[in-house]
Amino acid sequence: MGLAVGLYDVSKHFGPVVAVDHLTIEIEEGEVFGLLGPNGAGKTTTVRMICGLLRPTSGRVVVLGHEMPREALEARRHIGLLPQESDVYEALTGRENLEYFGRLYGLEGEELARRVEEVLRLVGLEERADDRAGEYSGGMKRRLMVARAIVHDPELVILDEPTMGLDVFAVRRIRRLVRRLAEGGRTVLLTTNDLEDAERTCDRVAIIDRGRLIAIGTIRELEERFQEKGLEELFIRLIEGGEGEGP
Amino acid sequence: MRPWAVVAGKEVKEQLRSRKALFTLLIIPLLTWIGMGLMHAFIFGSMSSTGPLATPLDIHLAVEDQGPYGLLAEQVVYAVASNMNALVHEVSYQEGLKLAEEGSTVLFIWVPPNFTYCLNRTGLARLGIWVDQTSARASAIAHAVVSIINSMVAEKKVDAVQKPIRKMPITLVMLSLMIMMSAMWGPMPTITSSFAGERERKTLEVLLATPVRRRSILVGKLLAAGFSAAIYMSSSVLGLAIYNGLVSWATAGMVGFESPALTLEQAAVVIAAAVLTVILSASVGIVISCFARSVRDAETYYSAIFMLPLMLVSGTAFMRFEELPLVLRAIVMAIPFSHGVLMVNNALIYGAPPGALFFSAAYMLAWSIGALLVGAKLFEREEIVETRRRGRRRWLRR
Repeated sequence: MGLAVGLYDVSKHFGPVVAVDHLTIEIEEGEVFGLLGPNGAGKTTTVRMICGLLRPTSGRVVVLGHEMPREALEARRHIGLLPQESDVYEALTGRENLEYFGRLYGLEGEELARRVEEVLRLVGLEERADDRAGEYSGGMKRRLMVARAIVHDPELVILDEPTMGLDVFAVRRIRRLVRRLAEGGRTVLLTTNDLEDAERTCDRVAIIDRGRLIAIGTIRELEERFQEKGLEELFIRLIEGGEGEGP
Repeated sequence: MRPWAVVAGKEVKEQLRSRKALFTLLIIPLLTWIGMGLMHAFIFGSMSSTGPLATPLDIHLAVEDQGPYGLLAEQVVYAVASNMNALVHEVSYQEGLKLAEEGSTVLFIWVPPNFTYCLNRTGLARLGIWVDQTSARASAIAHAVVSIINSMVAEKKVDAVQKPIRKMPITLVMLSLMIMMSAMWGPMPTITSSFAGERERKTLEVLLATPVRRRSILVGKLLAAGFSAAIYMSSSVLGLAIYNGLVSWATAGMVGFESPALTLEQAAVVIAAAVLTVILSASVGIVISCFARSVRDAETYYSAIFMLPLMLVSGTAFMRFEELPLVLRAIVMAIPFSHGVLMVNNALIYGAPPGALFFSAAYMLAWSIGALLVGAKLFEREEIVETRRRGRRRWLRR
């Protein structure tokens, strides 16, 4: 197994605000990796640096063997992103939304049509595919966004808070989808506040707070290391107690 | 604290933190009044005889009647001219006629040799007046001279035989208006909803995360803006054609009425001017859209930025450019949006050489390219993704 993402001593400053502070994380290919942290911990900034949308103030970001953001265009062919706050083009149908992004990723003709059908089926939107996305419910829109992130069959799928604000059925469907992606050999980077999401889907997690790495490992490893049962208790103790193993 | 004070406090705090509110409440009224003030100061200031912006207007007078009414007419012309900051040059009838035919004067008044005789014998006399209708001041002087003389000759009557040096085509106002509206409203919906709309809908980040160069995204959006602008232009041209047809039909057979229909060459210049204005507007719109966080923000900035130029450009459209003071002319010439109107005026009224038209076109195109390059540069910034303000306006947080 190679390395899907490597963050090496990465920092990001916005003026006087330090959003990410000397973060070092390695994510293996084929694993579901959870990036956990309270609001404002620096998860979204980290995701944006991984996608090459933000340039780190210092440190190195390597994604699928590509230096970011210098080789971002090449790397992005193999990355699928679901941003934390996103929406769909409401005037287009669900299918048209997917076709648009498929084309931007270089898919054409039969391959495009096949991939669109596949992902529509995968997220359970095949029956409403030709309805305007503006008529979709919140859960359906989120599913369409997940489909949009994987329409080009990326090697690395980044889902930033994918279950935020969804009902229990939609949450379960997305969790199942994440596992299926991993079974298909894809690397999934999941950032979330929802610890149940992480417990049910992630192979390894990293907990960050105020841009710093607090802990990293499998959930079992972390429970043993910090002598705490359950991710929620562990999370609260690490964040509120200021404990951890950061740099 | 009383509840109403709590509510008011929160509302004020929100307004102070909104860049859009700041623009709407502070910048737009300021720009409106500054623009209006500049326009009026320059226009009326140029007419004054002593003010700092006084710009004398040369007019010509031929008095061939030395009788009392001839001398009265001469005195009235001098008095009115002095009041409206015009310099009277006395010439012979032949010289004045030549100047009028060449278009080298905006006003030539001729008091014929039999002026006093006719008034005394028949109670009716005529003045010859050649006036450039594009000069508001010349037209005003001509009108004032006839009115004042009539008020002074008691029971008698003075007619003015007016011959236009240049005519003001009836379509001109509509055309200039169309050019200005093209600048303001043509590509606006598409441009403002391009980046600002994507950002508002939270689709920009996912679009920028695709393996597509930002330059390509920019070009795609510009082409889409061009498409909506083309629809706008087509419907404007069609509307103008209908307008032309209606006016031609309604005024058919009227004596001394200039046909409002455009020749093919004139129509080509009008359309070219409008297209260039739309391209320019689209390019500036892209720059604005790079800063705005939402469509409404973009529209507000767009209106504010266009307010001042439009005030000045409207002056260019409705009055003779040469009569504006030098400073204002320089300002108007520097504003790229003025050149659309100047192109139309030059083609339809003044018959300026093609060089003047090409200069205006090239100037607008250069600005468009410049704005696009700036837009492309702005679009490469990472702030285009990072929409939240961080570490700013701490003074407002308390």
